[in-house]
Amino acid sequence: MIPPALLRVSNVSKRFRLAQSELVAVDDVSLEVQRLDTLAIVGESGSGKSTLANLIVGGEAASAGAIRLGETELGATRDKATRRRIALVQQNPYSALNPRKSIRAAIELPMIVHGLGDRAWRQRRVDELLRRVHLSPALAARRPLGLSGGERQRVAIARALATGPELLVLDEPTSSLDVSVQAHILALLLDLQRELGLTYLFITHDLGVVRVLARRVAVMYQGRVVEEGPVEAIFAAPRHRYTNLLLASIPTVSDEDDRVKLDWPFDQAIEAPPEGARGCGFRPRCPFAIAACDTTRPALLAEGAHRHACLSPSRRDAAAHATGDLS
Amino acid sequence: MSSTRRDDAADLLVVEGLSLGFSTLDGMVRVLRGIDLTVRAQEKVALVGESGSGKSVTARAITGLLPERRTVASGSIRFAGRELLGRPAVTEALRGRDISMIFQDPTASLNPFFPIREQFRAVLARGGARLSAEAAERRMRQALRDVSIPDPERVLGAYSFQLSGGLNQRAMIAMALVNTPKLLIADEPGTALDVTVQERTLRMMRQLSQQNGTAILFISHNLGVVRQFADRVYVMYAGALVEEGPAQRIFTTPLHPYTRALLASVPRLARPIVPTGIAGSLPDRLQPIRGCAFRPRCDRSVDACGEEVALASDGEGHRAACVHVGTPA
Repeated sequence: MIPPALLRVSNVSKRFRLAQSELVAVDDVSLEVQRLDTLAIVGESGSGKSTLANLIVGGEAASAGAIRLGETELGATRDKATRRRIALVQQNPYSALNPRKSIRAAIELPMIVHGLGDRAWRQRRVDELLRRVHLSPALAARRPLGLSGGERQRVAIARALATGPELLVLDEPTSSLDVSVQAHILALLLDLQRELGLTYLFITHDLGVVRVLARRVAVMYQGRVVEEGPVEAIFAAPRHRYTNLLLASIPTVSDEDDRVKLDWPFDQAIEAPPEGARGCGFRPRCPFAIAACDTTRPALLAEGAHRHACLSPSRRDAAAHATGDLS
Repeated sequence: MSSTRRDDAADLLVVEGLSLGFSTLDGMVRVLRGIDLTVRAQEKVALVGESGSGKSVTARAITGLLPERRTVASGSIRFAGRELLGRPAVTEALRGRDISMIFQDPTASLNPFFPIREQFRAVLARGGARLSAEAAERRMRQALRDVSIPDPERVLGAYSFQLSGGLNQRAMIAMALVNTPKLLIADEPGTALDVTVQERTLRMMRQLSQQNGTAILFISHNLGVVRQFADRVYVMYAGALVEEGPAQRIFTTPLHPYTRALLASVPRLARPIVPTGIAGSLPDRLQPIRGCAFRPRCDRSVDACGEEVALASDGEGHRAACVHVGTPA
C-alpha cells in the first residue's frame, strides 16, 4: 500500500492580472511528494516553477485548487504550527541574509518568531545547527559579509532547519555557486535528508543536479506539468518533446553523458503561435507536432509510474538509449 | 615591454607574463600572476575557471576595460604584433573594429534609453565604412537575419527592455560580428539564458564566426559549454594558468589535479553519483603565493610543490603547471 503523500498539490492554478490581460503562471498543476522523498521541478524562466514554490511556502495564495501537507489544507493564511512544518531555502545566499545581523541572530530569528525554547536553549541549538551544516559554531558571532557563497548557503540551510520542518522547499539552492562548492552543498543536503528525515521539493533548471539529488522529477512548461515520473525513467526514456529538447541542450563534460542526450533538429525555426491557439503550448517549437497538437491541449496521462502530456511522444526504448536515437 | 618582438604570423593575440594587481585599503590584491596565452587567427580558445580565478579580469585587461587608477599591470598584450598594454589609444582604436566583445548579461550591455537601431548604427560607424542610411539599414537587417531573428524591423525599433534575453543576446552577437572583427572576446555568453536558448545562441555564434574567420576567446565557468565550443582550453586557478591543451584532451585526460577535481565536481547525466567537490578555499590574495597555489587543497602535494612550478608539456601538446606531469597519476 502506498502511504499518503506528505505534500499534495491538487489542480492548483495561479493567475496574475496584468494591465490588459491575464497571465496564467501556474495552470492546473497536480503533484504529490511522498514523505522522505525528493521531487525536483525543472523548467526554464517563465515555466511557473518558482511561482508554484511560492504558493507552497505560503508567499502567495493560489487562484484555484488545493495544497495539503499531510491532513492539513494549506490556505493563504496559516497558523504558526503549520508554518513551522515548511521551510524555504532561496537561490541567492547573498541577499537571503541580513548583512547587519550576526549569523547567530539570523539562525535564531525563526525560533524566536515561533516561540521556541528559552535563550540558553536557542543558543545551544544555533551551535548544533551550525555543526550540522559543517560550520564552526565560532562563526556565529560573525556577519555574512566575511563569508563565502558556500558558507552563506550553509547558514541559510541551518536557518531553514531551525524550526524543525518536515518539508524543505529548495529554490535553486546551488545555482549561484561554483561547481566545486555546489558539490559540497548537494552532499550536505543528501546527508541532512537522511539524518533528519526530511522531504524535499527542489526547484531547478539544472538536470545534472536533478540526477544527483532527486528521485522523481516534474518538467514544467508554460505553467503546466508536461512530464512527471522517476528520474531514472525520464532520463532513460523521456516522452514529452520538451523534455527531449531540455536533455539535448545540456552542455555535458563526457562522451558517456552525451549518450544520455537526444538529438534535436535545432534548425527548426521558432514560429509564433497562431492567434488564439488552443493546442499544446510547446507546439510552435516542436518539429514532431501532428495536426491534433494545434487544436487539443494534451492531458497529463499515466504510462506506468510515469506521466506525460504529449500527443506525439518520443518512443525511445529505455534499453536502447545508449544509441542516442530519437524516434 | 617587448613590443618589438616578432610574433608568429598566425598568432593574433599574444599575452605574455601578464601580472595585475588592484591596490585596496588592505594592500595590493594580486589578481593575475604571470598569464601567458595565445589565440591564433580563426581559433576558438576557452579560458575556464571558477570565481576568483582571474578569467574575467584577463578579458578586461585585453580589451582595456580596467580602470587605470589603482591597477598595476606588467607584462605584454599584443594584438597582431602591436602592444596594447598601457596604450589605451591603440586599444580604443581597435575596439569595435578588430576586437569586439560580448558580455554575460545582454540586457545590461544594451542602453535602455536608445532603440536597438541607434546602438547598432553606432557600432557600424566604428567599422569605418561610410554607408548611406539605406545601406546601413540593409546591413543591420541582414546581420539580424543571420542570427535567426525573423523580424529585424521590429527588433531594430525596440528598446532592450522590450525584448527577451535571448533576442538581446542575439542582437549583441549580430553587433559584435557586423564589422567582421579578427577577434571576438565573449565573457560568459549565454550564462544568463535558459539552457535551450543558450545552446542555439552558442551554435549561432560559432557558425557566424567561422564564416567570417573571426577568432574567439571564450571566457566561461561552465565546463560543459567549453567542451562543446572550444578547440583549445586554458584552465585558470587563483590568478594563474594551471593547464592548457586541446579541448578533447583536457576533458578526457586532465593533467592538473585542480582540473581533475573541477571535472569531478560536475554533476553527471549518465550516473546518479554525488560529485566530490574541492575541499578548502582560495588562497588569500593579499599575501604572495609561493609555489603551486592549489597545493593546500591538493591530495597529491609534495615538497617540490612549494617551489615555482612552470607549465610543463606531456609531449603531446598538452601542458600543466604540476610537478607530477609525466608521472602516472
